[in-house]
Amino acid sequence: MMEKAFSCWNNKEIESALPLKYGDLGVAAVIGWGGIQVFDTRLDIVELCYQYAQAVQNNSCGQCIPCRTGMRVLSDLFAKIRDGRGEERDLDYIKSLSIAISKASMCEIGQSSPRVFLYLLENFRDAFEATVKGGGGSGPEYSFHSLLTAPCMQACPIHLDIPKYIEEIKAGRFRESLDCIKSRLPLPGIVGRVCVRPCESNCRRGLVDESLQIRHLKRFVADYALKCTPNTRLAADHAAQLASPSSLPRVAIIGAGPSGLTCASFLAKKSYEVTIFEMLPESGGMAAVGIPDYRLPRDIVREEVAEIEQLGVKILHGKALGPHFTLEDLERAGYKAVFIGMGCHCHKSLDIEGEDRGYYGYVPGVYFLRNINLGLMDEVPKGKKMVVVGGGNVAIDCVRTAFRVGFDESHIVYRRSRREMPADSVEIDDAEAEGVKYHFLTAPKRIIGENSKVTGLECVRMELGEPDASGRRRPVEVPGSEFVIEADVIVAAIGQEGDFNCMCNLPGVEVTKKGAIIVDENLMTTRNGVFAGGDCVTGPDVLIKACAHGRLVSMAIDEFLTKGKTETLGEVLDEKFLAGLKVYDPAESIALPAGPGRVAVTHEHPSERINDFREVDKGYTADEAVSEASRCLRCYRVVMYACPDDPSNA
Amino acid sequence: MITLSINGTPIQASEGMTVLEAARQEGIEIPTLCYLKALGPFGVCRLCIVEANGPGLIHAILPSCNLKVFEGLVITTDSAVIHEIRRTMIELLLASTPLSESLRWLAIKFGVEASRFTPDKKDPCILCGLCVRVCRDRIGASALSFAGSDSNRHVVAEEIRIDKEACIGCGTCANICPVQAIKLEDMESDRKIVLYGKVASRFELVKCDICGNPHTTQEFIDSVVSRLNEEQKKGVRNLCPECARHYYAEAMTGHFTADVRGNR
Ligand SMILES: Cc1cc2nc3c(=O)[nH]c(=O)nc-3n(C[C@H](O)[C@H](O)[C@H](O)COP(=O)(O)OP(=O)(O)OC[C@H]3O[C@@H](n4cnc5c(N)ncnc54)[C@H](O)[C@@H]3O)c2cc1C
Ligand code: SF4
Ligand code: SF4
Ligand code: FES
Repeated sequence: MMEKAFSCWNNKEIESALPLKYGDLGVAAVIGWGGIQVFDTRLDIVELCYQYAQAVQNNSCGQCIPCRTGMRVLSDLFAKIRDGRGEERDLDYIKSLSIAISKASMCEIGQSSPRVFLYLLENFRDAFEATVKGGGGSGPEYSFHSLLTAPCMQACPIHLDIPKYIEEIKAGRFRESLDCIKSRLPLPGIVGRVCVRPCESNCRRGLVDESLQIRHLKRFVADYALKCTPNTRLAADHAAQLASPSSLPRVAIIGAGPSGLTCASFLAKKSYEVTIFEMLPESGGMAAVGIPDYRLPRDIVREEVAEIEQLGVKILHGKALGPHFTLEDLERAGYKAVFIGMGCHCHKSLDIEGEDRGYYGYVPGVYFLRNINLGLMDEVPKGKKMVVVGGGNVAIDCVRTAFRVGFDESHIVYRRSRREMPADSVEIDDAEAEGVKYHFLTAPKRIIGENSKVTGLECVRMELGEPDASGRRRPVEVPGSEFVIEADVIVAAIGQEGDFNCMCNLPGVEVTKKGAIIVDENLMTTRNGVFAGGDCVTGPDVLIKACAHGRLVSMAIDEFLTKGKTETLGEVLDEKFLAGLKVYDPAESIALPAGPGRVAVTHEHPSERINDFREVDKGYTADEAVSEASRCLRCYRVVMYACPDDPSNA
Repeated sequence: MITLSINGTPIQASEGMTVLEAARQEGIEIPTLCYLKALGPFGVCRLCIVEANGPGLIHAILPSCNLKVFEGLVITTDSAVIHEIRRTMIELLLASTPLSESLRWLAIKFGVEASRFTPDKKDPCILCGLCVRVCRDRIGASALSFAGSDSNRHVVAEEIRIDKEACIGCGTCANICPVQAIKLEDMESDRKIVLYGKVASRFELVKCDICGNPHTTQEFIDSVVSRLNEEQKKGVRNLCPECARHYYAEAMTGHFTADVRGNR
């Protein structure tokens, strides 16, 4: 029993911290890598330590002695004290073990976990001594739950077990590494190429020298498997499953984009009968018809889609929700649940003069890329000089594609400066290396045309003013600074939005003013049994988030169909809980000397690669992958929370 | 050349060297279990920890076997803190592998009389990985590997596993194992590789062409020969180490140095 509630997290004592919650449940205490927070003073602190030591031991990889054996001995000692068999000297043992484990362990599991025991012994030794003398008190019963995370894992929207898949690469077990990724993500080859890699900005190695190339490592194992056993690789794993026709209900998925494919894959693995309705002739969503082949070769997309089809998923092309069928039709056809993953395919207009004149040579970016990706070259306007408006990834994709379809000059017009560009900085540099001309602090004013054909873009210079809501400085026009950039083709790539036409005609499904489908925590729409995720819920976002939604929905649909339940999923609650604990601390100082930094990836030479759609990045060799993987610090963190068994006791 | 200091003495070391190598070069002793010069660092036994200070490092405790030297590095190999942690780790080793003779020697050397910690299961192996690495990196057979646990996916190393088909019976693992968790048992012309007390693989030994004593496995000879070029292959003789010594001495000097033919 503790005298008062207390809180110390990431080396900061927090006076009168607000009790944490797990979902709606009040938490009695939290113990973890960052420290400890006790809200319910009746909780036996020795029991909490014992439970935590056990959880850490369960997560130990078993490779280094301090953590493997040390955590076992530590939890034995806590158990001994809790059971009233403790001796005074056991507290000293705990101290010297905690020091040895935290100082000498190989990875963060051992290094970060026992620090809390040292803190407790230093500040609350009397509570331990009391237990040594009198045994544990008898208070209410608690249950203990542990969660494992890492800074990179926490930042990854689908929470891939990154340290684990890197560890497998380090040990040369590439197949196992891929299995680890695939247990949460069915599209490693796609994501391994185009993910915006939020994990890498949370990588602790970055605090020492440079963050790990987490994405390239993923691509390496995906490609490795492809090289070794193309296409047949899953067949064996799932042959048995395919042999037994599914007896579970039918589920309909709208859209074969990353969210739909991911959802389908996991549902099929659970033996649901899944049908995807896709409006276009090609599967993959924006991964196929948005992202150009030089970043993501079509074969990779097709290969991964084929693998999902091998699980028994049916994909029907040329079938659009709205024009061809309705939600009611699906219901009548016996589908018990629907997932809408239809993305954001409509373009946002520039709202400038000349845009609605129907000039030849003016085209929205998503359509420009889609037509090229679908091989509809007749639909793509021709010319020598192209100007793209926008600063995001879509704009960069358009401006880099220009050279590859025969333009001689390619320009980009962006109203803020390079620093504010939302596009990936690597992409911005790559485009520059290929010869793209940037016009920063420049905004479009008017599309100029002659004989119903585009001839130029009138622009105006901008300067940066006060920061706006997004924290970026707001650009303001410099009066009188208008000028014209000559152009044969103008591409507008300032964003996409949802298909209002379709979305707003789904009875019972509510949509926001901005054109996003409204969902609850489990991603169910306002219509029972109809779920939605990906870009059509978030607005234009990133691929891995769409996959994460697809995966979550697969679990939500399973719960919904088996238990009829709509309670918030455990995964969602875990995620929210961890988000409150600051898994990555950018101010942390890590006592390690800087190494040589990341292993660079080789690229096709710019002057060569702009002539066709060959893949620009070449990917790692096995040796390169292993040495990059060896840079990982394995920053796993274990956290545990205790809840009273009887919530009315809280 | 890089200048660093170890235990207060300035030391010169060449770029790329580890602190362990630099220290050993100066005759400064740092205990190791999982390091061998021929295999390089592995970093799991953590016995080789030292205290490191210098640019970016304040009282950092790091394994010296994979810490590269750099300018201005200040290393202490025997501070009270290091000593205390090292002793605790030796106690942990004793608690996990209490029957090992060599660990007991290590303990005595570091003044550990007995472990404060009670052993629970008596593990024969400390998972140092030397056998796995020598088999993979030196012998090229890759017969040994770390095995995780079936019940707990977080466990990367629970035990060592052997792939019987890949094992060539050379016995290098048994020679290298610091705690005799792998043993080589030769009886006449029968060789057993015994892992954790169980016979893991079995071979028939071939006889030396000169003395006729059984000395190695055909699989080992084949594996060595497969790595030679045609010229080298011509010089291969099936000889036991003893006879080989005499044989090659004779080849060089013209005298067969002892009459071992058939009477050993
Ligand atoms: C040019 C471009 C480049 C991008 N680059 C990156 C990048 O580098 N990294 C990154 O992480 N993200 C990138 N993105 C974003 C990423 O592609 C999307 O976030 C992701 O594809 C969204 O997945 P989704 O499943 O929600 O929707 P989508 O991928 O848009 O898929 C939706 C699918 O539904 C189909 N569909 C639509 N309406 C209907 C209907 N009524 N009936 C039937 N089917 C329908 C569509 O044809 C499509 O196949 C990029 C996007 C674009 C446009
Ligand atoms: S070093 Fe490894 S475990 Fe740590 S954050 Fe980076 S990738 Fe994740
Ligand atoms: S068997 Fe011996 S050499 Fe191999 S890991 Fe175990 S202790 Fe080390
Ligand atoms: S010798 Fe350095 S960790 Fe084992």
